[in-house]
This record gives sequence, C-alpha cells and structure tokens, in this order.
Amino acid sequence: MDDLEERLRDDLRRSASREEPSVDAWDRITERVQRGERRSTASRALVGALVLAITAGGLFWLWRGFVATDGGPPTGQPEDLWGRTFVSTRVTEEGEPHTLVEDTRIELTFFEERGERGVGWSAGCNTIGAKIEVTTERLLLGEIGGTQQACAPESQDQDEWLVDFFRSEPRWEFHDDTLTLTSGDTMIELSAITSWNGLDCLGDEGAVEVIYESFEPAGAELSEAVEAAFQLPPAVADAQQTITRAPDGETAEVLYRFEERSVARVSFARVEGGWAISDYRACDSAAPGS
Amino acid sequence: MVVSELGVGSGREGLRRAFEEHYARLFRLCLLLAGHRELAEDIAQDVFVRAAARLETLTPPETGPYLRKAAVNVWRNRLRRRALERRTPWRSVASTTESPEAVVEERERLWPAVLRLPARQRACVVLRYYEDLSEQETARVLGCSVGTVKSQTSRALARLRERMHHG
Repeated sequence: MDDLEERLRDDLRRSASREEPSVDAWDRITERVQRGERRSTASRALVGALVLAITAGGLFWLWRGFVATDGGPPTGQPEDLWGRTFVSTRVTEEGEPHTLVEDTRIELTFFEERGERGVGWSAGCNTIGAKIEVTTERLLLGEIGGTQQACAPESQDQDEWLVDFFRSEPRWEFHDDTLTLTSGDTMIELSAITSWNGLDCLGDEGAVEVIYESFEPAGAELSEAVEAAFQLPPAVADAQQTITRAPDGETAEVLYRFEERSVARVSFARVEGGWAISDYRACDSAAPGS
Repeated sequence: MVVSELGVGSGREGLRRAFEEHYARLFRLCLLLAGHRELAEDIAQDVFVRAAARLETLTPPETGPYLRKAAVNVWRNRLRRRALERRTPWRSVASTTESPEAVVEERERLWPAVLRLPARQRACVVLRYYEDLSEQETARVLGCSVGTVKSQTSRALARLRERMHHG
C-alpha cells in the first residue's frame, strides 16, 4: 500500500469523524415510519372496501360491454396494448404539470394470464392490479388489489391517487408508442418500453437505474468520460458500445446494443475540463437499428 | 430462538437496534459520498424509513451491508436526479474553511479532491478506503464488475496524485 492510500484512509476517517449525526435523527425516522404505517392501514382499508363493494354488487370482477360512442374517434386498437409495458413521461392536472413523488414514475403493464387479461401498475410503492376490459376508448377495471407494504406517506398518497384515477374509467389513446390516459382534469402520458429476457429495462435492474454519473465533466478524453460516466447492469454488461463523433468534434453519441436491441444511447459534449454527458436515454426503442 | 438470533427485526425494537448500531456510520458514509451534511442526513434517514419493514427479515450480519448498499443507491439516485435537473452544485462541507490554519490544512486534505471525482470513482474510493471493502465487496455494492472497480479506483488514485502535485 502506498502513501496516498494511507493518507486517503486517514483523511476520510478524520473528515467523517468531524461530523456527528443530528440528535433528532431517530425521532425523524420513527415519525416518518409511523406516518407510513398509518397510511398503509388506510390503503388496505381502501382496497378492502373496493373488494367489498364489488362483491356486494354481485360481481366478482367487472366485465363491461363495449362503449362505442362516448367521444371522438379512437386512436389505436385495444390489441395494441397487450403484453406491453409503459412508463410515465408526463402527468398534468388541469393542464399544469403534476409532480410525482421523488424517484418514482408510473409503470403500467397490460398482461394476459390463463386467458384472462389484466393490468398492473406501480408508482414506487405498492404493485397494484386488476382485471381489465379495454374498450375502444376506455379502460374498465374490475376488482383492484395489490401488495400492502408500508411506504413513505407521500408514496401511499400517490398509490391512492392512482387507484382513484384507474377506478374512474380513464379514456385512452395510443399513437406512436405513446399511451395517453385522461380522466377529468388528469392526464397521464406514458411511453412504451422495451423488455428483454423478462428484464424490465426501466425497473430496478434496468439500465437507467445504473446511470448515475452527473453532467459534470467525467473525463478529459472522450473514451475516459464514457467509461466513467455510464454503467450497464450485469445482465447486459456485454452490450456492444459504438462511439460516433460529430464532424466538428464537439459532440459524440454512444450507442449500446445488446442482443440486437439498442438498450441505451448517451450523448456527450465537449465542455471545459473535458467531456460530459449532455443527454441520455435507455432502452430506447426508437434508437437507430432497434 | 433467542432474540439475538432473530436478527434486527421484531418491529420497532429491531429498527431501534439497527439505528443504534448503524446510523452514525451510515450517516458518515453518506457524508463522504455527498459532501453535504444535510443531504447526508436526509439520505441516511431515507434509507432507514425505506428499510424499516425489510429490517425485520434481515439477520445482524446482513443488516450493515444491506443498509450500505441502500445508501449508495439512494445517493446515486439523488445524484442522477440532480444531474438531470442541472442544479448548481451543493455547497460542500469539505470545502469550508474558518482560519488561515484551516486553509493550510485544507490544502493537505484529500476529501475535497475525492468529492471532485466522477461519482463512480468517488464511490469506489469511499467504499474501498473508508468502508474498507474488498474489490469484490465494492463491486457487489455498486453492481459492477471487479474489473470496473479496479480500473475506476486506479483512475481515481491517479487523479488524486495529479491534484496533489498540482495543488
């Protein structure tokens, strides 16, 4: 071990030991946990009430007839949705941007199992789902159920908000891989994503989750910046990387391909001090060659 | 089964035990990664809140590594979001100086230079030299290969040497 490594150990320990955690850390944690547990109970009651209301009405789940004429011309066909997963890209309320809880997005999957069709969604807390009928214009959900884990209060609130949204028989449109759901003043826009080997590329194991470098310069040379700036999960670690420099030498694009799919595309720009990420997209089905 | 064999987890008692055993160290790990006291506290608390239910199923030897990995994940998610939002850099507690003596001492310190490293290099350095993790353990925490840990750490040390030589 050389002198620098010894100095590093000493300096990091000395620097860390200068700061003490705040004395009320425990109180803050338990307060947040307790709030989360209370919301979790409320959420269970909500789902339970939904089940009770539906079964009391004589319906184990709701299968509705087609609604043919309650709006403008349909965009996309119900069959376009099956087997696909979508992730939210924009949410608005009364035309204004609606901010989701930090580090969350809405992921929505339409699936078919044993001849029955369902929809499942998650927004960073519980996974919730229902049997579904998709008419030419609306999503008609049956009995809604899901996991019941305790989460931060804001995440619990978001779960309940989404349950209310899907209960309201939202109108849907599907065009150019973009699914738009609207109900009342709420609009949720989602993009279709690509999956491979059962891996959801925008989920916890996905490529997006391991891009964690900042937009600050990551390296003086482009190759160094690329290696420092971007990391693929082990499942796709063998992805082929192609670097294309712009003719002016000021920008470059790195394309990652895995099993004939373009899984990520990262743009770099020359900045003071080297190269830095200027933009990135992962599991981009619209990437060249995919 | 005795209580100690139940891991950290029988409800709030387990959370309390995990807090007492791991919180301070986790906070300092977050501080070294983030360079900002309030942010470090926020990340460490976030980890405990999110892990409260999971802690019931973990044994004591599993708890520390689980919390450490969760903290690194939360930190890099915050970093990613910050990068996306292109906010101005956080004010770093590593760069504050109060006196001429502190200025001299500051020049000799390595942590401020560590905070200027790209995130993955910084994570490798902090996990290897503060947490004393092996290359294999560091790779598991970061979800990358051992080769990546080696190359990133090597590159980080080269940068630090360069910065030490050039002030």
